[in-house]
Amino acid sequence: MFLYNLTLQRATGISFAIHGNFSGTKQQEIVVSRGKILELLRPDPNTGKVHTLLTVEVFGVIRSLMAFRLTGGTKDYIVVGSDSGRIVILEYQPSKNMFEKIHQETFGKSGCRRIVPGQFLAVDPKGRAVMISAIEKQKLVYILNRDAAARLTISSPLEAHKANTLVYHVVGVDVGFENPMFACLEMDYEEADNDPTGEAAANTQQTLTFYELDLGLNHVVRKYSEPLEEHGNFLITVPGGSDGPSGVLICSENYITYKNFGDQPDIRCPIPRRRNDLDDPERGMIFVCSATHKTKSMFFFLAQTEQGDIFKITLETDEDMVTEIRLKYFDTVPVAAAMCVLKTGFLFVASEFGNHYLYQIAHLGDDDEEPEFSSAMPLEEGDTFFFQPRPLKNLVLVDELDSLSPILFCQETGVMAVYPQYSHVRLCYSRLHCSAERIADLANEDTPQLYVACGRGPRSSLRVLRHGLEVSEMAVSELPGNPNAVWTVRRHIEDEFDAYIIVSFVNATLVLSIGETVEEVTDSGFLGTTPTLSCSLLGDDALVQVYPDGIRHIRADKRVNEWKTPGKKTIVKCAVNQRQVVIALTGGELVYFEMDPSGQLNEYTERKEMSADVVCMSLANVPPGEQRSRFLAVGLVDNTVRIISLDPSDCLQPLSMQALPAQPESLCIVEMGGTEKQDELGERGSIGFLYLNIGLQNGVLLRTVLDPVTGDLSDTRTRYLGSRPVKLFRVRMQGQEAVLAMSSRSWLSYSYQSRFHLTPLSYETLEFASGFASEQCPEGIVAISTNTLRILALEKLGAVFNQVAFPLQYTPRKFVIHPESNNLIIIETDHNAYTEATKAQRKQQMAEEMVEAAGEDERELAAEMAAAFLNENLPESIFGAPKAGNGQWASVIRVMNPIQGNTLDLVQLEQNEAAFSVAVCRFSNTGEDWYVLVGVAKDLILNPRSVAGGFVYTYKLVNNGEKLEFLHKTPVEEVPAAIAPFQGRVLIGVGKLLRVYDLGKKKLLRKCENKHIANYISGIQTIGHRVIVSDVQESFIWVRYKRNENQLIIFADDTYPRWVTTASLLDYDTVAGADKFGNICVVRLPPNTNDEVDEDPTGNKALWDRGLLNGASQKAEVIMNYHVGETVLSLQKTTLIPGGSESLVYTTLSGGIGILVPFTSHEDHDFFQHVEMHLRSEHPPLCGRDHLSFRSYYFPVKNVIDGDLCEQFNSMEPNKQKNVSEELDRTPPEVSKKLEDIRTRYAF
Amino acid sequence: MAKHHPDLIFCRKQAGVAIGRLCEKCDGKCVICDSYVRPCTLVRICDECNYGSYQGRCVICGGPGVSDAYYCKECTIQEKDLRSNISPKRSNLPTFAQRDGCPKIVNLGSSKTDLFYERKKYGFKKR
Repeated sequence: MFLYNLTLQRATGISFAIHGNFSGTKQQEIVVSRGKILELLRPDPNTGKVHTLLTVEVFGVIRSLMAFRLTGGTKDYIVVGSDSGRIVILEYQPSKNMFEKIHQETFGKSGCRRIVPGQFLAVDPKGRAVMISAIEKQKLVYILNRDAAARLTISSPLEAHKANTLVYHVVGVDVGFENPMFACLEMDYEEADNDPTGEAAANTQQTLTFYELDLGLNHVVRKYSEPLEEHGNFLITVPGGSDGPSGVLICSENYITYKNFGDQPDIRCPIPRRRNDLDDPERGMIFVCSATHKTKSMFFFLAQTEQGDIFKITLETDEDMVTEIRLKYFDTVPVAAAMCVLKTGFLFVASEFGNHYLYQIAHLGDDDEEPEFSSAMPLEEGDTFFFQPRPLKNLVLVDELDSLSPILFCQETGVMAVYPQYSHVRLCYSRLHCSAERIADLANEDTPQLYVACGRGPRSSLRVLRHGLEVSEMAVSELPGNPNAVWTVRRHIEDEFDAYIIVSFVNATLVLSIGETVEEVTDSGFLGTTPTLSCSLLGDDALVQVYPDGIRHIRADKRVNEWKTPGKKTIVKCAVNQRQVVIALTGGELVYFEMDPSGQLNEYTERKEMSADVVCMSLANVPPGEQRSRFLAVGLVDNTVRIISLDPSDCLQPLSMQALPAQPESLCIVEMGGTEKQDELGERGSIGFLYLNIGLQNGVLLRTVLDPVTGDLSDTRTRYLGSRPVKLFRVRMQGQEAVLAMSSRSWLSYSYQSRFHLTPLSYETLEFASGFASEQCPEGIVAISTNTLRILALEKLGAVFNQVAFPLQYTPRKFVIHPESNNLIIIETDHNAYTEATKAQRKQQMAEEMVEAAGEDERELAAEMAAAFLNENLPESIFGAPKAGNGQWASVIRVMNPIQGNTLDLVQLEQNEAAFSVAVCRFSNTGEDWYVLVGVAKDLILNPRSVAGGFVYTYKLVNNGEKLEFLHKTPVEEVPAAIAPFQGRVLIGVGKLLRVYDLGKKKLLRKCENKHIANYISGIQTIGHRVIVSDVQESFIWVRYKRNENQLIIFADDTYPRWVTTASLLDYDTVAGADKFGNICVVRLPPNTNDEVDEDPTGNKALWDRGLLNGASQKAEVIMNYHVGETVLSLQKTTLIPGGSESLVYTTLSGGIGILVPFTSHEDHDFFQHVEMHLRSEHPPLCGRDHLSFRSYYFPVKNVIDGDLCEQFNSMEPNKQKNVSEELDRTPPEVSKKLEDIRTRYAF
Repeated sequence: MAKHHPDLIFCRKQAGVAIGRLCEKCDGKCVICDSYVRPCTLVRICDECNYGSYQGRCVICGGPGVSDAYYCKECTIQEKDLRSNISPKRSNLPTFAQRDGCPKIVNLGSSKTDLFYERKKYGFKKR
């Protein structure tokens, strides 16, 4: 088995975010790292939308990210600390839209190791040096400079190692132009290590250490070290030099402290806490991230606590001596992994979990009633300030970036799965595993859906993903009849927005003007009493309307020139652009008009008679700076498309021809694939290729490259779009041309980040469309659907999935699908959380305490306050749920309708009962009833692990699967972490025990047990009599159930220790599994495996029959190994497109969705193996990690070809593409066609 | 060369931006395993080993350098760890190469002479 890995959706969680002027213009951009992906985002200051400019997978773990700028420079560079043992400096090249590796210096071994630097990065604020540090011991300083040609140079590393020290955080201290200085939070563990009594360990203090880079001596010295009172978690640089007092802010538990090098006294301020907080009062409070804003005259910091409250921190200074720290409650947003304040007044919040946000800073919080806390206020040690959290006041949400991270569970329900082999197995398989495969498509759409349980705590949700582009409906208006066509025109070529919408009916034309409102006008000059075939802006400011009896040319001063068709002929088809009009008269006669410099529309002297009737025509837009488009494409009844020259030298001469499998319906020539550029003069232009899109009557879309010189057609790509004839319309998307193709679904073909996308729109069927630009909607679409006119906008270009999210209460752990009603049964469990009941109780208790604590005369006031506190209900999804403390669990079981997303039933478990597993099954002794079994742990403490036991709750599904009726609960001695239906009974993994239970009257009845699983059963799969148990740490164990003897017997296991998170059966002998380190493997039992083995209670079996070290005697073989790079939490074998082949779909914790697809032929495999090989050497990963070694992180990669790397072929430079494809005996388009083919065969 | 002369000692200090060179005799060799095939990564040596009269010297034998030195593909893939017979504890050397540190041989002068006497001591005939 050879597999090909493809990412359908890249990871969405953000681990780092930095901002700077990476493209060298005034505009600020954000670079984010998503684990192994580097992405450049540009927030548009006008619309407030965040656009992705570039996404690159780096095939390595990005551990730190920093932006720096050389003194006096205008462009920011990116320094990346990764697991490659190298420091990499990247520059963004806006002209090529790529990151260029300027420097890559090797300093150590690869991998995330203790003493190899890469974990922390700090730059000198003046951009003179960068420090890269490991978690322990090693720190290297690189000096950055410029050479004579103003290129960035990097020095040899200078060592600042200190043995036996751990590092917590490193920042560059702003010292102006003095020697660069770095501040580190360190801890020396040498004494603690040598003291067996543990006394030294208890007394070890964290230190703040300053390292100075002496630029004169070219040496780093450990300048100064000072023990800290509290344990700090991170540092914030305070602007220095001419901008501020310099120094650092140390964020530690409950306190924020200002320290500076020298004899300045420390300034310390407690971190304010929420008034009447339900959190564990013993729990300290820390800041988790911060952002600095600095202008010439002022600076401030925004720091966020772990509850999500942002404080604005300002420093009061007296002649460059800090005298006071002031904190002011700013606003509360979801807890962030990183924040960036932009110069344009935006705050980018990269959330730790869930969606990311862009806020506009509406107020700086300077003049409101919000109290300000200061270090100068007298407070007892251990006391702190209190504030009242409130909804947003200073921030305004402007954009939200969808993020699935973390995905905890996913199930794809779509097209019926077919098992060609093992038909006998299929029967029992589908009977037992009815959940996944029997439900074709819960919502009865023709597209498969992915049900994804994602998020954490109160921010979690169940999202339904469908392949398609999200469409936002801007307006829908009804029209007096069913229109046939719609166009938009501008009034002047310089206009930014469209002026008219022209709607054509069977016998009339309606003209609507676009302004504040859209209303009908009659003075536009258009002929209203006839249907329209096409209309357009002609020249600078004239309009043209083509109708069956002639052409109407409307000049800017409303003079009208008409051209009438000769005799009885009418115009059947036409094609127009800014300067040219071509019409086809009945009988296949072509007449060509071109605008002359005086603005007159002139007919070309000759006409051209086509061999057959014309079905469709298309003209390209006139290229900038040219007089005409040189090609006319004509589709004829005889199943051909012909390219006709419009060049004056050989006007109306045929150039080339393409035969089609069916009759064409529509044509569209567009220029695509060019990168949008803006040169210094502000001239916009793009260099792309001309593509001829051909929509056929049988619902197929062909895309062909049109040679801009000869008019030759080559490199045809085919896609089936739907059951209806394909109509094509040219629209503009992100400043480029795109094609809207309409069949039974509407599709958009566009180029995005130098890759072609053909994505369906998640919207109803449309009939006709045209581009639309207005002030409210600069890049929209106006479309007709039956008798309505719709204005639509497509904002999330590049997104593969369209999401619908339904909120949940706690972190969803697992769900199952009830096969009859298609309802989902979800278990949600959170650690460190209160159940609703406990929360209400705690609140009541606190309110009572408030009243009691008040004095006699304040009692009334206190009662009022208590009532207000009880009524206060801030949404937990933003303000966070109260943290209850270690060992506190809350759980619910929810029955949800996946289509409407409404909760049908909700069962709250008691405090400290944590649901871990769920199954829906039938019991053979109870007939047709469905039961839901939920495995619950009681009083589980994770570290050091202890558990008071567990329960299996049994519910009966009643009311057609809408309600859970509690039946009984069965106590067990350990955590029941896996439940699977098995032959009319259930298999339950209780800790390390595998048991068969049957349904009883008072509880579940234990029928059979196996005690030989190594550690903890994390999953159970069954097929026939075989049970495949995944152990939390010891891979898979194959167990056979012997019905007659009522025994569960282990007959095979795996040879590797895999920490299995999830597994999926591929066939009777084969299982695919994923582990917690981000690997996917497929293991298979060899064909001669005997599962008829007997238990050997007497021990008299020959020694060699038993496995080594208590393992099973038979071993599974590894079929494939692959390192994904993100922890995979769900695996499923399924089909993603209707009529497509099966693939293995996986989802990762970081929010990525990928598939592994099998190769169908040896040639394909061979080809892609070579593509991968060449790309590994020609296009090495950006952060310096070797691709092969990354994919072999834990196990050597086996039998998998990395499609993500292969697809980077498209983003290589053309000459390199040529080299690689020459090595493969192909041309670059052929290679990219192959890449596209394998993707579209299985997915999208 | 060090592969076949176990007494040769690598510098193994943190490698910098200086590029290692090879003399005419050693040209084409991998500095770790002496392989002549599949040169892959450019050798970086530390600043001290490239200082003054050492500048441009052969990494292996100290002769005048004529070409850039490379690690072969095999050593690159293995992140060619320092020679496996020196454990970090015993050698007291920093334990890293370009990944392992600078691969310049530092004890050349004495080792050749030592080798001569060592052979003599054990009665090996000079070939």
